[in-house]
Amino acid sequence: MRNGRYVILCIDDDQDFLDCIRLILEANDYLMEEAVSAEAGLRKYKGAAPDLVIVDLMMEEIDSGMHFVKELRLLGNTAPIYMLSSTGDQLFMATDYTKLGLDGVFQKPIQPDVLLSTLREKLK
Amino acid sequence: MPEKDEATRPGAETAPYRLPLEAELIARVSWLILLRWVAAAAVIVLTLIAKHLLSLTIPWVKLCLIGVAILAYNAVFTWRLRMLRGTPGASIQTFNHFAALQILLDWLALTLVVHYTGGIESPALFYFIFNTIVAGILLPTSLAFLLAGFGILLVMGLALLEFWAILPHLVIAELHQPQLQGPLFLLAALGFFVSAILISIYLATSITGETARRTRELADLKQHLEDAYQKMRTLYETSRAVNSSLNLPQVLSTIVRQATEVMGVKASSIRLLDEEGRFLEVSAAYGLSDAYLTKGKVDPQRGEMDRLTLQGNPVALLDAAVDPRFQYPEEARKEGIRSVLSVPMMLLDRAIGVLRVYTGEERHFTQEETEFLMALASQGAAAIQNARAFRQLQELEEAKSRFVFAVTHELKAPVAALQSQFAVLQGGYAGTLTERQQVLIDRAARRMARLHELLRDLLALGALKDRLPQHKKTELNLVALVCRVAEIIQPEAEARGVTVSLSLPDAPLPFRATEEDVHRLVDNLLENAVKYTPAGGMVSLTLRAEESRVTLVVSDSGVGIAPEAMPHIFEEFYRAANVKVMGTEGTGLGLSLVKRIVDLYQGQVHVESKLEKGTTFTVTLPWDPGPALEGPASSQKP
Repeated sequence: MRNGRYVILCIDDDQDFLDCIRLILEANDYLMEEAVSAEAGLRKYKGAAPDLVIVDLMMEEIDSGMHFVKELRLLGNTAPIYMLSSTGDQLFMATDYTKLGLDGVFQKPIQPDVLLSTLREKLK
Repeated sequence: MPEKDEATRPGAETAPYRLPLEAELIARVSWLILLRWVAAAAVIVLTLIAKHLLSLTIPWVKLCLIGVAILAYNAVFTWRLRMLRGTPGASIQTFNHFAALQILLDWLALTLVVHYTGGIESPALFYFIFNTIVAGILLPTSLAFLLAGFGILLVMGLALLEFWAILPHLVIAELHQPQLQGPLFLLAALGFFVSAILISIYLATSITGETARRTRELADLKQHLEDAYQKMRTLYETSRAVNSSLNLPQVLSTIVRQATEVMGVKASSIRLLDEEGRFLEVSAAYGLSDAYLTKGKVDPQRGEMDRLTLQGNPVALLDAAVDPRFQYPEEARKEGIRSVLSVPMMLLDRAIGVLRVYTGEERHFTQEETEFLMALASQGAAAIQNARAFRQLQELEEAKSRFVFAVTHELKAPVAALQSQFAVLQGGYAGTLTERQQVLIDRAARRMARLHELLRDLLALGALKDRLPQHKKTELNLVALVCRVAEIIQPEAEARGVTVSLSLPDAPLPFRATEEDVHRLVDNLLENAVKYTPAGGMVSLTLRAEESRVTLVVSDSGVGIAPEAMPHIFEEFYRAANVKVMGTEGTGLGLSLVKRIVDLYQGQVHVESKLEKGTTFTVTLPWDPGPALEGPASSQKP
């Protein structure tokens, strides 16, 4: 938390997408940190100590999303991690996400109400 | 005999085509006429010898005149034969009568000669035998007997007329006087006898010899025809195989096998040029050992036989083991190969390979055999062309699919981004919208959602096309899966005022499949049912398992499918006219996906529908129940 607000770290190589999330989050009193790659995301993580992480599964580099999640675990992360998944991605039905160390999956395109209700649930 | 080979050519000036029997007859008749020249000459010459050399008492002038008369009527016969030869319509009957007439005249002449040389005591009496033999062999039995009877009557008539002294009995005095019963008589008697025997034998064997030859020729011809027929059949069969099968190895195998069997050879092989066009590699073989087939690369640069063949020429080797044109003589010897016939397989005027046959003994291949093999080779080439064309088509089809998939994939991210941006706008997160802005953005968002669905379906379709059956299968519980799908569809059904009811088995239903596939199958069917049923309607889903299959029935009371639309409903992008009018949105890919998934699992889908009443989809999938469950009265564990 920072200044009484939850910090959400979002990692996605699509800047437009990040901008959309920002509009939604900031309108609901969340602080957002962003990164456009897994590498940048790790740096931001170390610096920002987020309360929740949202990371895109399919970024430019293959497996970078999963790689990032593993790295976070190694760093002793306790913040809930959510993945972003597009239509037709591997993580169908996301029934296995818990095994991957994830707390949940958001489908792209973003559904603001789903996002917000999940955040409200998770960050109390 | 020349007649047999005379072909009919338009406007031919040579004799018209004759059937073998006719040709034979003509040959016989002309031979008869030829002999008659000799006979006539003999009559004259012998008469002169008898008169002037041997000083016998004979009416030599009359005898010479008879000889001349024979020459004369033989000339007429010659002319008549020439005429008949040129007449296509002349029947066998005509020739028989012609021959009979000749024999008749001969006998009349002979009767006169006999009369002037002693009547019943004439040494020339025996010569009636000759024409008898000829008549007997050449002519139909009845005619032959008729002529024989006539001959008998002639001689009997002459004998009686002389006996009754109506005609003078002109004996050759010198032959019948006691003092001349010595050497002259002996010589004359023996001379006539020996000549009679020899001439008879000559006549008989000449004719029968010819007949035997003809019979052999016919037998050969028959064999020839049978061979040709068999070759034709083979070509027909391989042609059918080529046209009905895209299984190239099988077709080429058939060809080498047929070649071996029909040509009666030891083995056969097809070798095709490799990709670089450098070496000839075995594509099919019959009757050859593995050791021989793997002897080494066949290099047209080093094997002259192959080089020549690839230039388009058939090549025949008498003995591969010693012929320098064969690349592996030692291996040929070990394999027991002697003669080889090699023909090119041509594709668009270029040789793509060779078809070879091998024999175990020395053999000279005939022109016909070479032509037959070349015909087989061209069928092989046709098969190869078909297979290549088909493969090209397949590759194009795959390339097209890959392209569509790639493009669709690329569109995913921008569309997702756009939709996110619309969601943000719609939610008011970028500021409050005016009503007009709201309406416009809502509509844009809806269009975007359609586009998203289309991409989703296209990607699913593409993924299914490339799918291997073994892909990611797990043990699913169909009952649970159906419930999950129904749960997802429930909100939409409620919103549309449609009731969804499920009828499922009590126990879990294990089914081995890729979850994604089954989910999509059930989802698409259920969603269609809900979408196309007006408010107040009903959708029911039944799932049941029978012995070896699983049945899913999705029934609705919706708008139905028109009969003319029925054949097309599984086509990609097809949407029936009535639903388009309804205004309900859809990609037209839903049922294509259903069909593809059903096909992938080797199942069947059946549709029944009535316009305005409803539609029922029945999907059956083969099912392996797995190990039998133990019943209540189960056996004790060991």
